[in-house]
Amino acid sequence: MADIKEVDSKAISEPEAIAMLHQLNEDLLPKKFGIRGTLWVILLLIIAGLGVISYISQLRNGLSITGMGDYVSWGIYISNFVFFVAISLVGSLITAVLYLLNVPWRAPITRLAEVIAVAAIMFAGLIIIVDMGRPDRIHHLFLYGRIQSPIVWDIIVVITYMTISLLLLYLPLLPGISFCRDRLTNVPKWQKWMYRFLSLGWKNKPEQYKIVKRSIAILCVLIVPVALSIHTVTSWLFATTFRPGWDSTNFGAYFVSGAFMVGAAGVIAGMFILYRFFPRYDQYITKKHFDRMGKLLVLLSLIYLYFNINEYLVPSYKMKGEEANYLHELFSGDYAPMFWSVQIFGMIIPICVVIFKKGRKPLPLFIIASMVIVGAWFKRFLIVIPTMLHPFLPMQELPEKWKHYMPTLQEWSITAGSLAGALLVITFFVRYFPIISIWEVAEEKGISHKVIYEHLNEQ
Amino acid sequence: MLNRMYNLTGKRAISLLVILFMAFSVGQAFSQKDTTEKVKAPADQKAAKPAEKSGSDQKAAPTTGKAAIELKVSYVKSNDSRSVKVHVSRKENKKSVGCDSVSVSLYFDEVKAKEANDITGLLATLVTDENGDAEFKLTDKFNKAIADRWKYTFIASIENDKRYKNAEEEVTISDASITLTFDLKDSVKTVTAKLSGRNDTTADLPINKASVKFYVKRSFSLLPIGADGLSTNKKGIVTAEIPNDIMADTNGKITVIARIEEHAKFATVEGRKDIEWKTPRIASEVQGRSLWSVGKNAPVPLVVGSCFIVFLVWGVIFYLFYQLIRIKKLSKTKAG
Repeated sequence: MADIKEVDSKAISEPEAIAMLHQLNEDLLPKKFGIRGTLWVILLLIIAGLGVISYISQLRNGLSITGMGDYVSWGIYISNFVFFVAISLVGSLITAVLYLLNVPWRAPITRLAEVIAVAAIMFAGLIIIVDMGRPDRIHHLFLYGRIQSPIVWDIIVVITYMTISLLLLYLPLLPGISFCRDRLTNVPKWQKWMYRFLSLGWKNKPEQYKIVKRSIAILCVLIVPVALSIHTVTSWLFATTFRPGWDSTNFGAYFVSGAFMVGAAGVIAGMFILYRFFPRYDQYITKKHFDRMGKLLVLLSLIYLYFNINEYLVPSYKMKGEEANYLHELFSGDYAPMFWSVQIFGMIIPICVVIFKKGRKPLPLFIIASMVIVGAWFKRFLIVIPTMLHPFLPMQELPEKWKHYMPTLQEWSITAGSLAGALLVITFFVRYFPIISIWEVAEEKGISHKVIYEHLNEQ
Repeated sequence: MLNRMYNLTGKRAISLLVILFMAFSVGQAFSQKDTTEKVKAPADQKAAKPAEKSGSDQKAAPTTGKAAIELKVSYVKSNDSRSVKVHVSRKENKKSVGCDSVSVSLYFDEVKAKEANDITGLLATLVTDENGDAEFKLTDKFNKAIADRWKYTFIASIENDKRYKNAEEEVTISDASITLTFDLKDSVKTVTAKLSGRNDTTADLPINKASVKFYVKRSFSLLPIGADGLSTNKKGIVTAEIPNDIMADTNGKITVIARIEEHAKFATVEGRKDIEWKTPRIASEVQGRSLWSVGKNAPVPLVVGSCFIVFLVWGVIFYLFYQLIRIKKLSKTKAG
């Protein structure tokens, strides 16, 4: 377990520490976006706005505006939900697992991982509501839910995980908010008020740091089982339903390994944006970080590949009943191009490229991470939709269109809106809060809390 | 130099791969067979559900001239409660389509303004729903006021609607009622309906040769019972057998209904009555506590185990919230 004692500041002299602290604040406190950042925000706002308009249309007309029907009752909303839950696991991987393993290079990327986790889990919860035909009845889940149902477990775990992730984001952020409160003077009043309110009057006292560090340690222990639960329970939504492709005892581990892989890819993509487009961030997120995250991505991809082989090889060896039709559809039918693209471009090629040192350089790794993320989204599509089109009871005497699923424009718009919404949360966070933890980086560089307290509180 | 070129070519190759992959994957989602048919699906669904066309109905109505409509008025009496229903429709592509949001004035006996303490005149102004239907349930006060009468006229009128032409329709009804009695002979249960009307001199006038249908109320619809083509005899009486295998509700009762439907003179009249039945419905097929039973019959270890985990985790979360309060308090204290 990580050491939570006060860092030894003997290795660095006090004037050096103070100068370094100044530099850290200078480099890492949030700054106004340039033209590219503004255009990015506008683009996301437009996509999210279109999603909201489509959702209002869905509220007015019901789920009949979607391509879902009697057979495909879980469409891209649910595959998007699984994707969000998967990517949210990154918080537990980077923050908690690396913390508990005392990995020294984690400090500059933990907050990025946590904010991705929070944004993803928020929109996972929202997309479930979007998938409900009667969202006004959501409280019925709590009033009339059966504790035997995995759907009720999922609701409990999503809320719990979201709360823990928020705490894990907020507690280490307290010193950072206080730096913003004290040092960002040329900001609007509402922003000042926000910093004052959220900082809880933080004074950089060693006792406060002690509480924060102890709380982080507790959260890191707590979040691992909860994170494993959230995606395991999500997998059980499928695995406890008797259908081809879902009838597997492997599903929990299969989902969790896939989630860790896409989560790591999400952090790599975020790291690259900070590294490439934010001045001086490359001093903190270095090529060393990309190299190590690349290695982690290869390891996680190999684990996921192993579970994929298990999931598809064993049933395809037996080729029994309706399962055979489902597998033929994936391997050589309508979904074959998507299936093989996801396997090859989303898993095999990333492993083959990133296993070499050149593949772990920032740009190639970013491209590979983007491929993994896109592949992961379509992988969730492949988990949900083809199975729903292959029920055990034969589909007889139906209109032809019921035998296929094509998401409508509104579904695509809402899904894109939710993805844009999650990116907006991350973008706004980067705009208003330090995305690299100043005090943790300071601690990593050997600056003691005492120096931070004595120096910063003089300002 | 060569190394730079190699790096650049490598980056371009990877970029090209990604673009191909994304285009391929996104394209796949759109390229499943019968795409055209699926894109049309929402329109087909709307055509199959006139209720959902309501929004477009208003736009579809001609704006240059008012459209002609059909107005229907019907009357339903169930035991002692009475209601008047109206249906407004128009022709669209040779099909009858319900008109929503149309104001229909409902009058009793004659068209005139409502006066205080007078049951005649305007009863209510109804607004049709998305199917073009509206219903007015006659109040107890009204029922008492017409207790001595045996013939009524209801008039529905549409006036000054922005989209549709004026229309008026009336229905005149002679009062009738159905009383039900049950009998058991040789383990065969029967229901007897007596249909009686009124005139100026007689209060209980048997109605002969009226076609009567029998039903048992189920959760979502009515289950027809008895033989086809049953009609009343000279005494206004008709009898039907109740099948023994009908399941009762959880209180061990069934509701039997006898009805004459859309009769030229009496309109729709029905009698309803509950009967104690021998086969009460079991609330759940699953007995005892199990994963498959209702929520309150969840297995005890599952309830205890899940509650324990939830309270444990949330206990820690609340402890951490308390730590936030401590941090805030520490901010207010002076450095020691």
